[in-house]
Amino acid sequence: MAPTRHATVIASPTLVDLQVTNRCTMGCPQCYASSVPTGEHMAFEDAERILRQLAEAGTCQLAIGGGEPLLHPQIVEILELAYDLGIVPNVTTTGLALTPRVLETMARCCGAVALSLEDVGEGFAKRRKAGFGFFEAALQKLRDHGIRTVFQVTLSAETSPACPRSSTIA
Amino acid sequence: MKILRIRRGFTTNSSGANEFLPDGGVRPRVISDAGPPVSAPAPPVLTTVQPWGDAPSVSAPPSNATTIGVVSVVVAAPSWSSPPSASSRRRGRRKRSPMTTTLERAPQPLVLRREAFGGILFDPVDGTHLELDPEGFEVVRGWLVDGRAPATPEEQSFADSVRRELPSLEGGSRKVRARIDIERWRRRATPP
Repeated sequence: MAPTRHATVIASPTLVDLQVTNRCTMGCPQCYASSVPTGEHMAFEDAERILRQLAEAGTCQLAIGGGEPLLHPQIVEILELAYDLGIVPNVTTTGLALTPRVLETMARCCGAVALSLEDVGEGFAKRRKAGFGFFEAALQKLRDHGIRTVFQVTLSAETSPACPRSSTIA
Repeated sequence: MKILRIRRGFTTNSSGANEFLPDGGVRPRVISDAGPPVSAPAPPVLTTVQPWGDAPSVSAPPSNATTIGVVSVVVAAPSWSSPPSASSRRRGRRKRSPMTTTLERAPQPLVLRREAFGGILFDPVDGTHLELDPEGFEVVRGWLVDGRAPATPEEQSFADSVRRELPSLEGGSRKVRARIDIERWRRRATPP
């Protein structure tokens, strides 16, 4: 007899997406977040209020994105606060602004970090304002710091043919 | 008493597709209803998965974009060697040394939430998320919050099954703290 699914209505989210900024300088054509170089950052006070409410509600994980979240001037404080409140922060990044301080904080606090990847080699450069070496350098930094890393692919009619190439990186 | 459902991994997007799976490999997220988790990794191919049906989010990507996840780096999970004690449930301070690896990080406390179907036990160490039926939740709550040993062979067997799913509980210098009880929170949020 097939198992019966139990009720999945829960009292509060276990996972929450938090867009801490809509600023990004990469100009990726597949971006679905309408991120721009002149985008604005969430005020730290707002982020703090949200995180405390989520902690109170028993949220388990946070998916921090943007924009490029690492451009937020207080991203380190946001990650540390989430961790201190008992929420696992996860981050999606292009690899921009992976400073030693950010890397050290992510190694200490983050469950996982997702690195955007739509293609490899020249195909990558067509979709970013950076060559594939930029991606490789970012991946190396994450690995050097023992950070659990995920590749995040935004699928579209344009990017899906590159998936087999991208999968070779994994 | 039983474990109703098991999920594993750290999720970087509310689609639920972008998960770091603790045992590596590339495969869709694991959901098992009333049964053991799938442990064998699938072949390393890109896999499109469905969005989470039961994980509300503050924002979500528009319908013209779908994200998928690919797992890359595998980091070993920490292990502990002695049974949990009352003092071990108090949360310790995090280490702040540079180049800290996952193995060196002090673990965050467990999350224990009561829900209509029973309750949730989440382990921030490896992202394991267990949904428990009401009887199972009470056993886990008694064990982790009150320090009460399982009283019957059935409870012991259940506690053992939870331990198997949460390797960080094995042994026990692990800091264990039930962080929230939704019922209590609701009572505070809704004055009589």
